[in-house]
This record gives sequence, C-alpha cells and structure tokens, in this order.
Amino acid sequence: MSFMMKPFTMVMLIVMLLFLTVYLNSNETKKQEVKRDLEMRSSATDILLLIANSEDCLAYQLPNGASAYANIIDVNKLQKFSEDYQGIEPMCARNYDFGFKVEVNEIVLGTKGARDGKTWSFGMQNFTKGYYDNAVSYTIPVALKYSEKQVGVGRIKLTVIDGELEKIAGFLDRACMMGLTGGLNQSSAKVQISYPLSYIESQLCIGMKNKDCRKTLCQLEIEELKSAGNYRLTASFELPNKLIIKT
Amino acid sequence: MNSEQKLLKGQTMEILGVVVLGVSLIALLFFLGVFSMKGYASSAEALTDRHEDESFKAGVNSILYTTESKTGKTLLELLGIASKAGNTTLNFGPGVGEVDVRKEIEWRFDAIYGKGNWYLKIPFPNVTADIQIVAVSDTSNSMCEAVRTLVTDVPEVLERIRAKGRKAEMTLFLLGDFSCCVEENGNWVPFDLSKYTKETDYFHVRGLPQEYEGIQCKNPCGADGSSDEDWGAGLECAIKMGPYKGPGEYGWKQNVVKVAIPISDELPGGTECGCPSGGSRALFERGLKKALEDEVFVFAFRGDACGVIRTSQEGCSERAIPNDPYCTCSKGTINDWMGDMSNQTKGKMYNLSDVVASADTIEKIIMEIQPNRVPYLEAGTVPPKGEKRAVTSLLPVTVLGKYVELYVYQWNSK
Repeated sequence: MSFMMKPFTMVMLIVMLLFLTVYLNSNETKKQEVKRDLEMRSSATDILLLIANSEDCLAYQLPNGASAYANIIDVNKLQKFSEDYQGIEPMCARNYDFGFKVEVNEIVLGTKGARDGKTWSFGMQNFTKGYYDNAVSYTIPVALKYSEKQVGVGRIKLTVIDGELEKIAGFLDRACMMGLTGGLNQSSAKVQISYPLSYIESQLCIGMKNKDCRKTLCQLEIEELKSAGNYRLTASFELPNKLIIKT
Repeated sequence: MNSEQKLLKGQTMEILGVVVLGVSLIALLFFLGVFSMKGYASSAEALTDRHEDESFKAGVNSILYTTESKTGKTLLELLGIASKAGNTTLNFGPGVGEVDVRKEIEWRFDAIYGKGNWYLKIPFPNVTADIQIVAVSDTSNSMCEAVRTLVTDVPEVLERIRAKGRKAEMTLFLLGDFSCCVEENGNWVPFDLSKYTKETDYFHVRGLPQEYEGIQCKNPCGADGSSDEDWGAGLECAIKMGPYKGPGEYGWKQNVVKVAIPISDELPGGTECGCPSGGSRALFERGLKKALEDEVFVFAFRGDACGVIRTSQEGCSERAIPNDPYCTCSKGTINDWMGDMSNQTKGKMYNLSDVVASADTIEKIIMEIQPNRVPYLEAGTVPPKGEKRAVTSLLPVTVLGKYVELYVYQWNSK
C-alpha cells in the first residue's frame, strides 16, 4: 500500500504545482490587461481635460492672457490644430504610452431640429482593428467660441488607442523631445511587434499589406523590422531633429 | 489495529492533508485573484462614472455659455434677463424681435443629453418691474383742469414713488393746443401749459405728432370732428412711439410694465356720439388693437363733458355745455368704450369727475399694478424616480445685482 501511496502523493503534488503555475500566470496576464485598461482610461480622462481646459491646447484664453475658460474651445485654435496635427498628437496633451484622435463636432439648429454642423479632427488618423490591443472613447460637450457674440455648442470625442505602433511612436517622440530639449541624446527601450514595422514617406507604419501609419516628432532613420518579436531599440538624436534607430 | 493498518491510516491522512492544503491554497489564490480583479474593475467603473459626472457638469456650463444667434447674448445672460423679467419670451425690439429662451435651452440640451433625459428649473426672483406710462390727452376746452392737475402734481407723485423704490416714469402726449382758461388766485386766466408743467427726468410733456411712421395720429371724425380729441389713433401712435427718451427719441425700455392712459371726455375724433359711419369706433379700435398687441395695460381716464367751460377766445367768459349730447355722451357711450378698452387690456377705467384726484389715481395705478410674471422657468422632462445626476449653478441677474439658482438633472433612459 505504501508502495502505491508515495508515488500518488508525488503525482498529486506535481499536478497541483503545475495548476498553480498556470493559474498564477494567466491571472497575472489578465491583471496586467485590466491594469493597462485602467491606465488607458485614466490617461484618456487626463488627455480630455488637457485638450478642453488648457490654454496650450484648445481652451479659449482671455485676450490679456490672464486665464482660460474650461470647456470653451477657441475655434481659431481648433482650426490650427486640425491643420497642424494630422497624424500626430499635439504636444500640449501628448501621452507617450497611448495614441489618440480628437474629433470635434459643432451642433447647429436646422429646420428639423439640431444637427451636426462643422467638424474638425486631429491626432492619429487611422487605426485598424487587429493592429492595436485596446481603444476607449470619451465624449464631452463643449462651447465653440468664434467671437464674443458667436459661441456655438459642440462635442469633443476623444479616442485613445493602446497598440504596439503607439508605444513605439511614444518612445521615439519622447527620445526626440529629450534630444530637442538637450536632456538626453540617446535612449533605448524594449519593444514588442506582432507585425512588420517600417518607415514610409516620413511616417512610421505597422502592418502587412494595409498598414496603419502615423507621424513622429523627429525624422527617423530606421531599418524595417520584418518579423514579429521582441526588440531593443536604441534611439540616438541628431540635430536638428533626427533620430537614428538601431536594433 | 495492527501495525500495517496503522501505517495505511497514517498515509491516507497524509494524502488527505496534502489535498486539503492544495485545495485551500488554490481557493485562497483564486479569491485573491478575483478580489484584485474586482478592485481594478471597480476603479475603472468609478473612473467612467466620474468622467460622466464631469461631462454632465461641463455640458451644462458649456451650453449656458453659448450665444443666441439674433442677440449675440449668452444663454446665461438671457436667463438672467428672463429671471428679472419673469418671462421666458423676451422682446428685444423691432430689429431683433422676440427670443424664446425656453426653446433656446431645449434644442441645445436635447442635442447634448437626448430628448427626455434632462430637466431644468430656475425659480425666478420676486422682483418689482419698472413701469413706463404714456398718457394721451384730449386738449379740448373741457379737459383744461384735468391736464393742469396732471402736469402739476404727477412729477411729485413720481418722485415720491421712486423714493419708495418703485421705478416709474411718464410721458404725457397732448393731442393739440389749449385755448381754455384756468382759475388762478380767484381770477380766470388763459391756460399757459408751460407755466404749470414741472418736467423732470421722469415726467415729460410732448405734443403728439400729426404722423408717426406712416400712421395718422390725429384724425377728426368727419367735417365737424376735432383731431385734438382723437385719443384712439393717438393711443396707437403713443404706444408705437413709447415714452420720451431724449431729444427726438422715444421708445420703451426692455422688460417694463407698459401702461397707457387715454384722457378724454369725448369719443375719438370728436362730434360726441354723432360721428358718421362708425368713424369714432374705427379710431378707437386702432388704439385698442395696438394696446393688445403690445401687451399694454390701459387705464382710461374718462372726463365728464358737463357744466361750464371758459375759452381764451371768449375772454375766459363762462359758457354752459349743453347736456345733450355732450354730457350724456360722456357718461354713456364714452364710459362704455373706455371701460371696454380698460377691461380688455387688464387695466381699469377711472372717472375724472374729481380732477384733483387724478394724480393720486396715477400713484394708485403704479403701486398696485402687477406685471405678468411667471414664477419659474421649467424645461425638459420631469425627472423619473431613481438615480440621476444633478447640478446646481448660480445664475447672475446682473440688473438686480443678485443671483438665482439653476437646477439641472440628467438621467439615462432605459
């Protein structure tokens, strides 16, 4: 009997340990995903607040420069942002972990009730499902200030994207900013890619045939990363605004 | 129990112990995992809730800051004016026209929160509105004493009322010139209006023009009629012009109680009750229509064309007014028409038989008149029971120098 019991106990213990390892591992992965989701939501709230309330972003600032009105958007700034920040996030609300897109809709009174009027957008332009892990959208109503006597009503919709392209672009933009401000000329990070990464027509792209592309702060010198896997990227800054990326 | 049995029992217990330990460990890890996940999930939920709360508040503030297209005023300003006026429809004069503040609120809130998902209420403050009066007086000889009393006493009455905090002003429009006599220190002398009139910032006497913006203001009824007795068309012109503002300028202020006072002992256009083809009635109707259209309260002062008159042309000598038709018409048809006009416009008719009391009557009108005020502005859908977001803002009523509260509720329809 003793001859039977000891191996059985041993097998039981091994099975239990295996189960525990698998369970703990999957639980940790799930936890990381939920934590990342929470971080993204928290960042989305921060970005939205900055976009709508900061005078560096879209908030209307009094002519004497004293203060800015929360949630009152200066249409002149909005127009400029929609021209200057196509495919890249504005620096006033840049988040280096996530990418985002901002869409602003004006609401006007038509003959059959309220309808959408003018629209503006800036930030990331294209993001295809499959190339990113997660996305979240938040909306807030805002006032759109054309002049003292003309203030319309509208909505800001912010879509925050969590994906490999956004993480890599975030690292590169941070490296570029540090170089531009004279803080640090070289930095490195470990990145993971599931699809080929390339730099085409001054845009960083990810994907096979139909790629998702976005702009970066600095011009890049990078070789295409054709296969999926983990890479350590080392970015070296060169004046006036160039990053040389080595793997 | 032999030793082999004891050994078996010991081993079984050992295995059971390991199994129990393993199960407990798994259960513990499982619960720890679930709870830590729950923590993240509830944080995410709290974050979303907070965003929705902030979004709601931001929405209310943003909407209040938007401007109305015709006036260029923000909804905050319009609501302040509406609170002061006690009315949700505001009239900004001929250039801009009327603005329905409730409608302006509704389409914006419907667009942002969805129809049936919000409710707004602003209790209006209890305020006393300013009063502006235009009076139109017949200047026939029989009205001499009444007008003298008005131009002499009303300025003092207005000063007294203003000292009590009730803002009132009056413009007296005269339909013609006087050629009558008044008693002065026991003697009868020609009535010199300018000598008696005490103009102040709040009391003005002006002659009514013959024509105003294409309207004939003074019309005689037939060949025997008298244009200085046309208080019908005269009233239409006076209401259209509004009170005196400055040299060559007339107009009503915004959000005031408008009062008109026709003063006469004749039917419009004269000839007592004998005006042919209903001419007097047509002139009367013009004044009544304008008063109703512009929401003007009419307080008619009816005189008695009875007794004697003294005219300056006849050296202030006394002349008896024939009882028929003068006196009977003033106490009959004129009484009926003036009463009808006053009732239809929610005013009241007063008899000028005691002319000394006319200034006191004006004081009484000013002190007692109540503007048509609504107690609150309410828009949207009455909130259902259950959970809803709420925000209370302070709304400045600039002209009053105070604030009123604005309540907004929002919920998601299931």
